[in-house]
Amino acid sequence: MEVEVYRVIISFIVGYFLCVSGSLSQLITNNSIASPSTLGMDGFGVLFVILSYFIPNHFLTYSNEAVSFILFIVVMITFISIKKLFNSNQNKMIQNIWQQSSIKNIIIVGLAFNLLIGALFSIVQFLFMALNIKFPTSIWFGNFRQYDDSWLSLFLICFILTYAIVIKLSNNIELLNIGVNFSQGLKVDINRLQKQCLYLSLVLTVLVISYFGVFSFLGLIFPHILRSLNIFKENMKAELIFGSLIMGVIFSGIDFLCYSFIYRGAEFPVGMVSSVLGAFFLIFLIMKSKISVG
Amino acid sequence: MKIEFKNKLKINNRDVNCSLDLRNGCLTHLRGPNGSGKSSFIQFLKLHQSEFFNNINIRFVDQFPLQPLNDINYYDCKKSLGSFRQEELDFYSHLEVEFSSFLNEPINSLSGGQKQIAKILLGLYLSGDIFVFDEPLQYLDDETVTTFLDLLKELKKLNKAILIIEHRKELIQDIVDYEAQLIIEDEILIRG
Repeated sequence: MEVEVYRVIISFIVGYFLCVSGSLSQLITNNSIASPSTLGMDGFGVLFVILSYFIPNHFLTYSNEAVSFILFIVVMITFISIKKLFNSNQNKMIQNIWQQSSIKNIIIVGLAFNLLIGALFSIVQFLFMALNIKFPTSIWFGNFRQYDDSWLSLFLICFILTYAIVIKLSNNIELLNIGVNFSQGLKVDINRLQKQCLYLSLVLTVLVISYFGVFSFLGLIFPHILRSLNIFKENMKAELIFGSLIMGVIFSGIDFLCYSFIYRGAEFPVGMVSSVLGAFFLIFLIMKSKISVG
Repeated sequence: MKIEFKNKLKINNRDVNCSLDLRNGCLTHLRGPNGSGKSSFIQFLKLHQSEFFNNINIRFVDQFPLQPLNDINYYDCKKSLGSFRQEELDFYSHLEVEFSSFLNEPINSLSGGQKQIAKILLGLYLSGDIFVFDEPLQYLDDETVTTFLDLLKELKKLNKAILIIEHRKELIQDIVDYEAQLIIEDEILIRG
């Protein structure tokens, strides 16, 4: 059996991205059940994929995947610049309220948003069918079947950039881990750090979803697996810098298994396996923690 | 050190008008009914500390519990905070010895009171010129309350300014120097 080297590298990078975005979203909320899937970032990514279907392809030489990601970047830059224009003291207070509103509520809103986008996806799919237009099937459960060799360079650049940013952010990352409220008292701009982590986590999630679809709950499971190991139990910096690389390798291995064991000519999408296992894992975590969720 | 501002902060849609004097070596007790916005005021000070206290280090021990994601203990936190430290308070190591039975346990496995003690110790580890405590006595048993009050006395001796929010006045009345009031009228007044 031949090994597709490009696929192995890309799946490693995607695994790394999923783990980093998971760890970061847990850090900024100070809660271990937060993840791109539970905070609604997955839905956000799919939203851009849906939007990209409505941009006529013949106007652009880019693929659907690239269009969706570029759209996201444009929206994000617009959002950040508008926010900067109207930045005032009032803004800081709003931020503060966000921090103090219960994480339980944020997670329920996030999951509800994912469901809403799922429903929207079905509606769009229905309309395409009704109008007899071919539905772009590139997005389903996350998988690497339709990867393109030309994406490797993009993902390699993103990987190097992300790794550098993570190393820079990790200087003060332990402060986020001790607690946002505690660390606000120090003369470090912890809210800024929090925002940077949030944006990085969002960009990585949307990048992965645009190109490969949704790998639900892996961002939740990966950091937990790392923290169950003795080496990463007490070291958030190591988890982010080295642990996420290990999870990238493991994820690449899982993808290789899916690639090797084909059931009746069809390959299992990694995202499908992770969605099923991840949902059980989330229920297990909530049952285990009982009160500490809030 | 005087904290004065007007029309900068809104609590429950009321403007806050604040004039609060924190004197070195004195303990100021901030009083006000439940929900009147004492903690919001502290939170505001925390986020805008550079406006009010330019070259002064102010340390906050607020109401929020420590909730790290992994199994770090008190000493790991201390190591992470190392670069924010200035000086050693004399009684500090003595306090660590007193609570050594649980300080090396992961913070997440501690009880509410033990977490509170760890948080107070971390707040003090950083040291500073002004200490702000927001209901520090919650979850603490009688014995620990006494230890904490001794600690406040030590801080006063070291000429630190202390602001404390505490509902059970009888616990701290012996060491309070000034009373500050948070009054709700057309606007919220903080006077002291």
